[in-house]
Amino acid sequence: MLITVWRTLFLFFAVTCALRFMGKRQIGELQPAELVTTIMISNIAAIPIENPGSPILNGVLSIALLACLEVLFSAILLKSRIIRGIMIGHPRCVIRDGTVDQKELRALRWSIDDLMEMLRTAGSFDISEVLFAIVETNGSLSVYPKFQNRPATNQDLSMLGITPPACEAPPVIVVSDGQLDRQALRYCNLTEERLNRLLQERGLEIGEIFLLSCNRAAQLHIVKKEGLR
Amino acid sequence: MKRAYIALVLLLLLSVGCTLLSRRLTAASEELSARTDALQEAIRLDNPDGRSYALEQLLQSWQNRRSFLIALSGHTNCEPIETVIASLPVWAAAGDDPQLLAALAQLDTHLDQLHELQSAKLSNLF
Repeated sequence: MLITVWRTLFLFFAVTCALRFMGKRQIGELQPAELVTTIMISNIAAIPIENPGSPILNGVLSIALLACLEVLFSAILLKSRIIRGIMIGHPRCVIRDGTVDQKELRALRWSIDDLMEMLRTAGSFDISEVLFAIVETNGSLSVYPKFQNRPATNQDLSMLGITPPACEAPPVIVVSDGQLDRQALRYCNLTEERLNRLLQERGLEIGEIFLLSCNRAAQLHIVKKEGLR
Repeated sequence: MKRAYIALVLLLLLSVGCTLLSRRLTAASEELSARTDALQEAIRLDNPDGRSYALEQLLQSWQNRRSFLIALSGHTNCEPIETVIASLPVWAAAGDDPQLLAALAQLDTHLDQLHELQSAKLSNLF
């Protein structure tokens, strides 16, 4: 039994390293080849765990091989547009100039219900509001609404003359569960001494903080740890 | 692209490593086969000294190569070999030559199977 625990731990780290090596895309937006690699890797990892008689080396070797092949394959896809087209496909326009392209829908084997579901997921509940809808190679739908339904931008509102506020950059988490992130502190143009002073003014210490977010204008948002006096 | 180069280097290292391991595995199974043949020969020649020496050599070879063979071929494939090898000293001590020869023939078959299973041949691919 103990050997199963060791094997599981070992293969867990092997698969994690392989997925990390393949990059973040592997986890979020999967292309066909990436999905196949992920499924294969998880299946291969399961074999030595289920069957203690089979050599773990074969599993590790196969995982390493698949990870390397996937990385090389994506490098080739990056360089060759033709191979990319064959292996990944091209984006398909299912709504063009406000009209549903039924031929494309049939080619994708999508029903109108599928299209409506994807439009709702993308935030468009009314098909008449959509000017263009494109099915991306990873299967997600990108929607471009008609002019009257597009959200107004600062440019639309003629607000370009207004100076953006100093705190325009998004806030970052500086203290998480009592742990100080010095890199985030630098991003906020703060020193540890200044942060401590700001906290002392509020009668707090770093160890008492559950979450502290801060922007570049040194505006703090503090959530205290529960259960502390 | 840096990742692609790392993958390429890793792939090359894997290929070289696999080739070396495969050669070592072949050498290990061939050594065991040779020891088995030597023991069979000693029994047929009815040479008691040569027989005990050949048996000792076979057991020693197995002890030396056991971990490596199990790591590469797995417990499932090595278990029959281990069982047969464990029975050899028992038959030899009992002086039961026909049983000993039968066990050695069985061992030869298992070693051949192991060799066949691990060899990089097209028939093994499909």
